[in-house]
Amino acid sequence: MVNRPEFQEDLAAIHRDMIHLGSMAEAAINKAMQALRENNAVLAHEVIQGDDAIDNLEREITQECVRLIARQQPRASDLRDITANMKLVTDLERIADHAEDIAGNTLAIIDSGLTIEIPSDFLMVNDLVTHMLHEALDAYVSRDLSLAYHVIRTRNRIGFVGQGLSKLIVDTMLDQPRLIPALVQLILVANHLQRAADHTQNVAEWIVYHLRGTYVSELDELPSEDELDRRTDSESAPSYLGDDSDTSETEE
Amino acid sequence: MRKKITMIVIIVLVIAILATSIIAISEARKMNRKTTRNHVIAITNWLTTEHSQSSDLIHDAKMLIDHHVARDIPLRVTLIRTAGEVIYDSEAEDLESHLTRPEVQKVLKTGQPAEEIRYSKTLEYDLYYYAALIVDSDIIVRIAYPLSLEDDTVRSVRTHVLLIGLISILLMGAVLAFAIQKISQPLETITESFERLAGGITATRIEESHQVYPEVRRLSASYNRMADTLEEQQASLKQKQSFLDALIGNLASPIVVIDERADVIFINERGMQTFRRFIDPVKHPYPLFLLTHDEEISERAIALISGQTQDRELVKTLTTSEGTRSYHLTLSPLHERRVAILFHDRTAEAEAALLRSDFVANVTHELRTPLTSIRGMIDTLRSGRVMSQEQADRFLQLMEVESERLERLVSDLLILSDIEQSPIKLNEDYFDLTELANEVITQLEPYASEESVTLKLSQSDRFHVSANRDRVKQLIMNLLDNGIKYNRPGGTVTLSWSAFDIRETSDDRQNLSRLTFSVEDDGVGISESDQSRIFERFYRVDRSRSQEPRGTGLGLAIVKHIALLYNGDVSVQSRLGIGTIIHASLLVPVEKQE
Repeated sequence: MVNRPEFQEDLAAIHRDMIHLGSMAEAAINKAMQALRENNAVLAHEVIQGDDAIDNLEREITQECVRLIARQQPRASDLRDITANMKLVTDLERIADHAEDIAGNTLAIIDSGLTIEIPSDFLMVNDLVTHMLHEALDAYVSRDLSLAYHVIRTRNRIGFVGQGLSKLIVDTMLDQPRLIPALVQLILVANHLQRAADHTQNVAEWIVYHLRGTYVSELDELPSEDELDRRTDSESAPSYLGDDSDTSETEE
Repeated sequence: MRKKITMIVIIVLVIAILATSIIAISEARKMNRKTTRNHVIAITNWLTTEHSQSSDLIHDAKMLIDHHVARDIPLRVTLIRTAGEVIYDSEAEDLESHLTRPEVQKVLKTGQPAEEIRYSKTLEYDLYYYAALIVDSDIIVRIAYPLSLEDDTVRSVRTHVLLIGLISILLMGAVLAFAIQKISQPLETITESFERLAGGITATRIEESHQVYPEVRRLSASYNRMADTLEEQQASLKQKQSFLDALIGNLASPIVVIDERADVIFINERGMQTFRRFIDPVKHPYPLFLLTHDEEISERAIALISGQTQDRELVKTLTTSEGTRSYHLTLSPLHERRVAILFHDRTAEAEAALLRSDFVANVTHELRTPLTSIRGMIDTLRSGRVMSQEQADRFLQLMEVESERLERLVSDLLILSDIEQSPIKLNEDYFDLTELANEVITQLEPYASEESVTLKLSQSDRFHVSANRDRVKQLIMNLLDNGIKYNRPGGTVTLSWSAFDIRETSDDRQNLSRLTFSVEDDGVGISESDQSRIFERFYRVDRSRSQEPRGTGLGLAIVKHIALLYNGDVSVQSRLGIGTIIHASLLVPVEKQE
């Protein structure tokens, strides 16, 4: 543990920037999906324009992390903190990139002039992904291990829904070949959403690495909520943990 | 404190007693020696003056010694000739020459008696020596009187003085301890009370009346006063605090407090719900951006803290758990470079404002359409292009229709604003409902037959109603008019009503009933998406019919307003192509007629 106040201040600044970047990525995904639902070209353009700021912030954070390692030579948990942030920042930036891609697809759909009905399963995946990202950020801010595990567990459910979704869109294509140009874009959006979910899962895994110093591998059996409650005492377990029905933000 | 006072007093006492005893002892010794000396001089004088013969002298000396020995005084008498020969010595062992002794030397030199006090090494105490020449002889009498004897007296005096001193020290100590106890006990109580007060425990009061010393009583009184004041202030602070907590906690708008780096340090319950972030900002501070996803708010707050701006208002569209809403933000600078931000959801207000401006636009539009027609027709008539009387009559007829439409529109608007603004006596009339319904039907009959629609009054109970007759008539009229208008030729419009009592009577003692009017038609019907909007002002299901001279688009809006006036409501049931039933209910006193 490096106890120099200067170091701790710099580390806190990185955390602030990380939360900022995460919020920007969250806003980008939400906005991109809103643009898709509402056929809103203005919103889609906003998302695409906002990506540069996200890229810049990502570079800044990475450089700051490198600078901190070089100058202060942190050890143990401090080094793990910085390493985790360096990995996290990439994943968050990738999520924002997917938001940009979704905005691009939305513009393509709008340009095609075709009106397609967005399947309810699709909206459900959308809800799950935004919810995951929301919780991952909460877990990062409050250093909540059980919340991070919850995010990883949610990812598995998205995979399940996602498979059915592709089939549904392909069926619609066969039924109404006229809509194919728009539906292709929708399939791409579904893919981007799933990639974004993957990166969100990574974010959660890096949070676990940061807090516990262990990697979460796919073969690991995730600890149950009860176990987590026992393991992480006062620090975690907010009341809304596991409240899956709470997806009101994206329903509006 | 108690120990210190006791120590000082005891030290002073010991010093005083020591001084007294020293003075007393020295005084006693002085007096004793004086007495001894007088006694010795007296004996010597008796020996020197009364006796000249040595044998007598020896005899007398022996007698004198015996007399003293009997009283335990080891008196020593020596008779020496001036030549140096010792005639007699009561302790005869040592018969060396006594001429060298200082007192004897003095007598030999002066011929006068001489005295001397010397310490005897063999006897280990002071001896008083007195020597004198016997009158008319060469014999010197020397008497040695032990001073140790007189020291016994001194010692006894000393013992007594010390004893008295000790007793008085003990007595003084006891008295002192009692007195100090009396002072320090209340002081200790006060100290304890202060400590409890400082420790945050409810302050205790000190019994003033029990205090002996006025100083302590005053201290107790001021302590009690202070405790009272403190408790009062604490209670008022606590009250204010809980008041504020309740106020902020139950506030329907989110409140967020941020510091100079735009980090959240407080958020109320509502804020957590609105932004769906249930993180305790005290434990884990986070940037405001995490909540709002909006840079401008943070920038404005920082600018406000650093004094770069005074603008505290901000309108923002934010996506929260309640959806995309319009918020009016009020930023209030607090002490210690903090800013409280109140998020006031003004989506409803914005919608209401939109509705108002829509209404004005609608009214303007509705008024302008007939006016434009009339103006156009007047212009045409003036231009002289209308040749035949028949054409002119047609124009005039059309102008009449348009002016009627204007009139109706204005009167409908007046009714609406009347209902909305002027409070009328709700239950001023008492009338027969069937009679009123028949009156309305008679009035509408010509129009209905024009449209080939049959008006029917279904078999309903006869009621007497206490309400404003004009308003109820207006309501029935508009409902029926609406039914006729949107019917098809050959259709029927049926009016019916029912009433049932409401047990929970409101503020006044009248027994209110829910009186529901239903108007059923078998006309075109209303699509589901339109059903919710037909009671809006100027809303028409079929836009193309808005040019129809009879409709003002306000009929059902007036129905709804009248129903609301009587705490009732309106509803619609309809299926496209089958027909529509519109219900309007009023809460009014109803009397059933047999």
